Amino acid sequence: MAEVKLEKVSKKFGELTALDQLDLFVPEGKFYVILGPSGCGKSTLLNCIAGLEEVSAGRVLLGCRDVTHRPPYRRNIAMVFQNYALYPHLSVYENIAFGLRVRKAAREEISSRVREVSRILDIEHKLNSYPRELSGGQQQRVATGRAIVRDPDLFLFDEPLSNLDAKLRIELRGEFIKLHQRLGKTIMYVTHDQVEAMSLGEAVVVLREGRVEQISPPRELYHDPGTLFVAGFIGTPPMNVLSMEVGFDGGPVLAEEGIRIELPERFGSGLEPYQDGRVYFGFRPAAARTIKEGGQMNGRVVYTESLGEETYARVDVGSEREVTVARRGDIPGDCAQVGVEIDEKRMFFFDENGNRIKI
Amino acid sequence: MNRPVKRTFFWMTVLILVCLLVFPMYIMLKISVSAPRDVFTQNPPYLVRHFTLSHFRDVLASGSVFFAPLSKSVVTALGTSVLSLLLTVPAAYAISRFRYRARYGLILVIFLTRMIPEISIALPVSITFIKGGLFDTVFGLMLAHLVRVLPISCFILVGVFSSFPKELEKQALIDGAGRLYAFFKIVLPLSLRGISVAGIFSFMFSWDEFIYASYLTLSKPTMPLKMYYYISRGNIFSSATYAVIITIPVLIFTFALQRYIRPGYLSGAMKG
Repeated sequence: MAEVKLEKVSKKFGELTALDQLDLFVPEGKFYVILGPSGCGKSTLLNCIAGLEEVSAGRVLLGCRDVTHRPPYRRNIAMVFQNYALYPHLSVYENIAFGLRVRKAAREEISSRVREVSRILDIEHKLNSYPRELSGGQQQRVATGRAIVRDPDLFLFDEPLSNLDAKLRIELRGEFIKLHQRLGKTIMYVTHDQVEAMSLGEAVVVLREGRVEQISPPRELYHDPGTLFVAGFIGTPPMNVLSMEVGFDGGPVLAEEGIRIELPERFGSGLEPYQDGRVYFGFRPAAARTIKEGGQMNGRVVYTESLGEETYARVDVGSEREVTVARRGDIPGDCAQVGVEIDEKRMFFFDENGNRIKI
Repeated sequence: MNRPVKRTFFWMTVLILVCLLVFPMYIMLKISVSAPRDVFTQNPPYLVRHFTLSHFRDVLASGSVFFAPLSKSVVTALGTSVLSLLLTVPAAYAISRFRYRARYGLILVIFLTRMIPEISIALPVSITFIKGGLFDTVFGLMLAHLVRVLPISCFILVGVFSSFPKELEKQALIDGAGRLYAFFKIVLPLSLRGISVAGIFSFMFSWDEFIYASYLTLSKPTMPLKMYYYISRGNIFSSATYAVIITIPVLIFTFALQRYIRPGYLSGAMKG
């Protein structure tokens, strides 16, 4: 088992900087999810940890070992790729056994380990098949089996579920959690799917342009985002964000072209430094609701959409600004005039650089 | 144009082209199985009037006059293709792992040797070979043919290895394999088709090679040289027969190649 530590790791591809002096610590036995939009350096990060890419600067430590300049085979890491990379000319059995054969394990040991792993992953009946004969889900299981069979210190998963359909994805997601509970190994899991990240990770590392934006447990990431980027990236539907001018009229007030939001007195001290300046005001759709009259804003319902459990209303609050708001009860439908009531405890403010203003 | 007319036009064109290409081969085959009186007339017929296998019988009955060149050609061609693969498989694999620009540059450099006409480079080469005791030897001829074969083989193989899915190789490294192990257990077995294409190309290039063979040979000719020997003496039946015998393996290999060059072989390895 091993903890993972990255110290000021940079990776450049010519002019392009994929990782920018990145620091990261993953404690032993934890399930960390690396989340970010495409091109943020997620996969490069995994490749650098695995040793498939040489870092341009910085150090990579596994446990207490500095592995920065070690080749992959001297790091004892398992990795599952997005497209599984099963060896097409080898049977499922041989695919799983490959890593053991490389290490010259005894024949009986290989056989017992492969069978045990295939039993855990429920692919025992497919051991003699070839990869092309398997379904997507089965291919995924074989790839996972190949990773766990040789008892590595660290698991790296590079978007392992993104090629599967939604139903299978949810099923296998549960299996990943069980697998982690059973093995108790350190796992780093890359995804661009926030739902996957939130449901799998003990902690989520949000990556942006080669830097760590925030590391938090999933709930905290949602309820206490550190930056505007995280706030906008996490949550479906996304957080409503309005750029507003800060004023004081008795209490703190946000104003912008006909929209005027009066805030509670206690926000005054936090917003004071931004008086006459601008802030980003954010609230989650689920933290607001439509009411008949009153509320902090009002406007016209443009359309409503049902996501099963929840129904959201898109409300035009003036000056072509629309917000998404949870619709509760028997509220009038499209084109109705409604008030928007926002939960004061769940309002977020960000400065112009996108950093959170704690109030 | 409507569709039937278009189709007719298309097939007409194909037919004409095929005729143009096949006709000389037909004449070659025809002469090799025709009695002399079919050929030595004012207006030779297009069809075989008097079929005979006597030219083939004569050639086969000539013993070592025929079998010595045949075996030299076979051994040289096989040796050339084996040697070329031994050299170009590792070279092409290495080149394919360079960045794209470096790769392109290296291939250009390799092809530099092909830019000099063989007819002019063969003389200095043969002088060097005489000094090195390689004149009129099978091994010497193989080396000379490699000059011709290596760039082509390398070019084919760089393509083969460049299109090899990188993930499979990475996976092997992750699974604990070193680069050599990954190459022999994963890359090589999955590239066998491409490698055999390169091998067969090398064989065929060496098989009908003429210029180096004529410079480097004194007493032990190859098949093309033997054929030329008959042409220069006006024995058109023997030369046609030799031509047919030289053509047969080329035809077989070409058909084999056509089957080999087929996409979709690596399906099942990757998803997405």
